[in-house]
Amino acid sequence: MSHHNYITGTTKYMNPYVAGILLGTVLLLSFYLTGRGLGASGAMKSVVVSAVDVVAQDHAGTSGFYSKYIADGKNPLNSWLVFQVLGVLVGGFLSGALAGRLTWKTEHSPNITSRKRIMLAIAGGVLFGFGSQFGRGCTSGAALSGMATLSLAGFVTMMAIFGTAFLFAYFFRKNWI
Amino acid sequence: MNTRLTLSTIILALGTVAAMLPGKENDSVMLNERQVLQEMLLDANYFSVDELAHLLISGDPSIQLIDIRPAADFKEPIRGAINVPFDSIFTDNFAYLFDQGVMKNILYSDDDHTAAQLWMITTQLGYQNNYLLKGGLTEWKSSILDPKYPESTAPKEAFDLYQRRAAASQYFTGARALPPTDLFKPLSPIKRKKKKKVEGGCS
Amino acid sequence: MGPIIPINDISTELNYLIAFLIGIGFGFALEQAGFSSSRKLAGMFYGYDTVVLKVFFTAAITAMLGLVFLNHFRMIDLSIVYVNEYYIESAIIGGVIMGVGFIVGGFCPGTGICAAAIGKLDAMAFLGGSLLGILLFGETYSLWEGIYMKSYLGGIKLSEVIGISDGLLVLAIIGAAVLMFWVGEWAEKRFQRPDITKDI
Repeated sequence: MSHHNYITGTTKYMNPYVAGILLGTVLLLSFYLTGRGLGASGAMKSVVVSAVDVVAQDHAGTSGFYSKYIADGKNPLNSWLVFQVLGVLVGGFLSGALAGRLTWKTEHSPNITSRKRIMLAIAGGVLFGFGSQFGRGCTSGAALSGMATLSLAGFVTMMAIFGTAFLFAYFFRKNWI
Repeated sequence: MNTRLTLSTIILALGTVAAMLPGKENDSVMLNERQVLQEMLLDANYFSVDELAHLLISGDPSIQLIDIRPAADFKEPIRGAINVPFDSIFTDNFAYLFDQGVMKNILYSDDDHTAAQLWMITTQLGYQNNYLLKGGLTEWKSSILDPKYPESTAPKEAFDLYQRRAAASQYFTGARALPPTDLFKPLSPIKRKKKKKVEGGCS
Repeated sequence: MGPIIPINDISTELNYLIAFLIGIGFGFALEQAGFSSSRKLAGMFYGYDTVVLKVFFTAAITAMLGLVFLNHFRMIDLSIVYVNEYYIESAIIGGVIMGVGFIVGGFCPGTGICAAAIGKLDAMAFLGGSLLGILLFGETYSLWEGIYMKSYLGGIKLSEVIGISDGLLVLAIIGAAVLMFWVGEWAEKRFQRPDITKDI
């Protein structure tokens, strides 16, 4: 390893169980302070809605999907999740910097080219983005936070995401292993 | 011990404690219909007209009389009653009146029926300190305001009761009775801040 | 009594500042766990690295236990804490689409943001794709609206559906998680891929 990890000292990553407790504590703190869990896709939707609002205001105002986020002159970027996601960027960056992991890099299996990896990442992103809107939240907002409050929606979404990924893992194995 | 075993032990122990906690800790007491009906049969939830007259005459400050007839029918109430029409209880956020621990609410309407309905609702919601006036306003009028002289063959107790009722009638209808206009002040509901559920999730 | 901010009507600005700080903790924890590496995340589905399982369930259980105990000691009013609303069809369909997206793209939005923060180009591509996917959903919303809104059951809890106390459900989940952690570590040995794990 070329960089020193200032957080764990010797190992590359934190012990997963310790990291899990850390993540769970942050999640619990979020519930205790604000009454809501963590999220990610909601902030990305805010970005999309405000972009659509800038480019085609009339269209955004009449669409059944966008209009509810921009009603009464609301700015969709002025939302709790947007600020939380900005924090994720900063927190991820801090952790990466302290652990010596800041590099421009496309991570991929030697079986595929960087170019193919990027194409797959975009395709996966499109699916995930679409699915997160259909399912009202992603792994963080629906599955993790939903499970923490014991909501049925959280368990169902979690099972659907991970179950499907396991089912399809075989067909995409060439890209990973 | 490796981290997995340590963590597993700790979370299993905490989980066992969690499983033994009494469930539904924060939920409001929700009685089922049967329990409510059983409760309603208990005498402890009723005030008789004589008890009420006694409390009013002695000026008991802890009772709150609530007349639940429609506002249009709110005429000649029992002295000191406030009018909370049955149909406005839900629209006007009167819950604070029924959900409190200070005053004893005595609910009445013309008869037992409507007041009992309201009483069942409040009890089912877990509100305490609500009572019913047995016989309602009809009973109040016939027994307290206009008591009948007992038959000459009646037992002595009946004469004692008549004496008390006649005195009460004097108190409520006689010269000392306050002009009714002072009593009709309708109570305006206090707007209590509603608990608002947090908006969350990614949608 | 919590949740502090909605109960005390604290200003929106402070709420956003807290969102930002919580986000920092979230991003930090994700990155430390190794969620900024798509090959580490994908290891979950091939058995060579089950860090996703371990972190995800440890975190969920920590928060669940915390909420159960806070509720027991009346330090949080769970009646105003957000519970995800359940629409049967949309939760399942959305989850299935996300599952495919996960195995194809290697990230989920949260981990993608975290990975992009340390310079992973594939994560940036993934996020770009996600924005497109959300736009696609927005533009075709009228096609899905019927099924998106179907079978609304409100914010119901699994414990209510089964009819057991929250604490008992948490214990059952912990039991399942302990078992899965054990299977996970077994799988890491059984399906080990030193050639991959040394790179990530």
